[in-house]
Amino acid sequence: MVKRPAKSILPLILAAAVIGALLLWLKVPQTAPIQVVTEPSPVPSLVQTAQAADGKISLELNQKQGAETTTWSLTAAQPGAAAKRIWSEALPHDTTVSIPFNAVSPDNKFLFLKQAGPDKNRYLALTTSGEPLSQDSPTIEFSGLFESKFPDYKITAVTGWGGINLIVFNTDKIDGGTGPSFWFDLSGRSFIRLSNRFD
Amino acid sequence: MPAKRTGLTLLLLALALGGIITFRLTKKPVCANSLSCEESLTLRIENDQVGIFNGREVIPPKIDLAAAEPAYKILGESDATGEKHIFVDLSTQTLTAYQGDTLFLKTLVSTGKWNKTPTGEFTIWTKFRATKMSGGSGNDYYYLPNVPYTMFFSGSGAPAASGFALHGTYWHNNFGHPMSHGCVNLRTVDAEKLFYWIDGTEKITIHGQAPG
Repeated sequence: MVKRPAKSILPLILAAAVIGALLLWLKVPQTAPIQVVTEPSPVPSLVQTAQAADGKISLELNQKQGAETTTWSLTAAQPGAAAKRIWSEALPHDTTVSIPFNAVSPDNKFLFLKQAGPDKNRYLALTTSGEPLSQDSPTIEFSGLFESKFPDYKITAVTGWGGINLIVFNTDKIDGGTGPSFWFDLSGRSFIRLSNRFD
Repeated sequence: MPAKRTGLTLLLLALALGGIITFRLTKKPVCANSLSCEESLTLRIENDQVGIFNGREVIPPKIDLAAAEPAYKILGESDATGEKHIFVDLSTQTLTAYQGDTLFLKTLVSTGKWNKTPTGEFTIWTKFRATKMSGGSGNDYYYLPNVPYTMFFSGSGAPAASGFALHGTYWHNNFGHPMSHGCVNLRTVDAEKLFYWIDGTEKITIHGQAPG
């Protein structure tokens, strides 16, 4: 009987297998790591869609990243008419725009947008037709107008439309505590302090 | 003497009981729309009228009863089975509608600010494509023809004659916040969906406490 040298060969086979696998791995081309390119997107991307409360106006908010700013644009489509760009603005990258749930006025003539910045929110009123609100201003940034007229209060939320032309918003007192609700009357560009708060 | 005292007590009890019965019989239920009240409980299409809300004129939507019904009503929009149930949460001002476990609709609504929206269990007893609602006084006066997709509900201490309803809204757009005189205001797009979805078997549960 010849003794078989199985046990003495096994380490050699294992070593050969490991070296072979290593050589094979080195020969296989390695996948290049994915590089994240932070170039600005040349194509506008859809951010949000919304519709008027009666469903007769459809809104579409888009953004396009630029090197220095982000350009936001809003289109509105009415039944039987092509979608029309009604607003566009280049804003710093840290500012975002949104269409609030109650954005469109009950008669579908106006809407407001929210611009959330790093420090505070701005609210912008405009027409759904794209026509300027008046000869001297295509839009009205009524939150800034309010701050200049009522420096003791700050806007906490713009909730919607309390009626035709009447934008409702809530306030807090600058020195602490809850403030009243107001209407911004778009037809007269005036603020009306309310006895009821619209929480 | 004791008989006289007993007689007097019985007389007082009878008078008190009579007073309560008379009061209950003569007292009209609170009406959601104080001026139109019973008039609101009918189909009313008034395309040539102008509405008033918050002291301003508002143009009601034109309603054409001959117009084609929405496609989703004709084709049937859902394969869901089970009982239909509508929930209104006053604290979040949210309406959700389910068939069985399937969510049909979730949206913000406006419930009672000037009058409370009743809480409890209700059913829809009738619905109209449109009706007229008016009430309030002074600055609070409102006159609203062609209130679209009106679904009147009753139950839990709110009789049919009180005129509480789920309905579409064209005079404000402040959903998520109390704005009504007791009804449940919906966006017109949502009221339309609900109007064609309900079949008279659904329950309505209204719960929670409205903010403010």
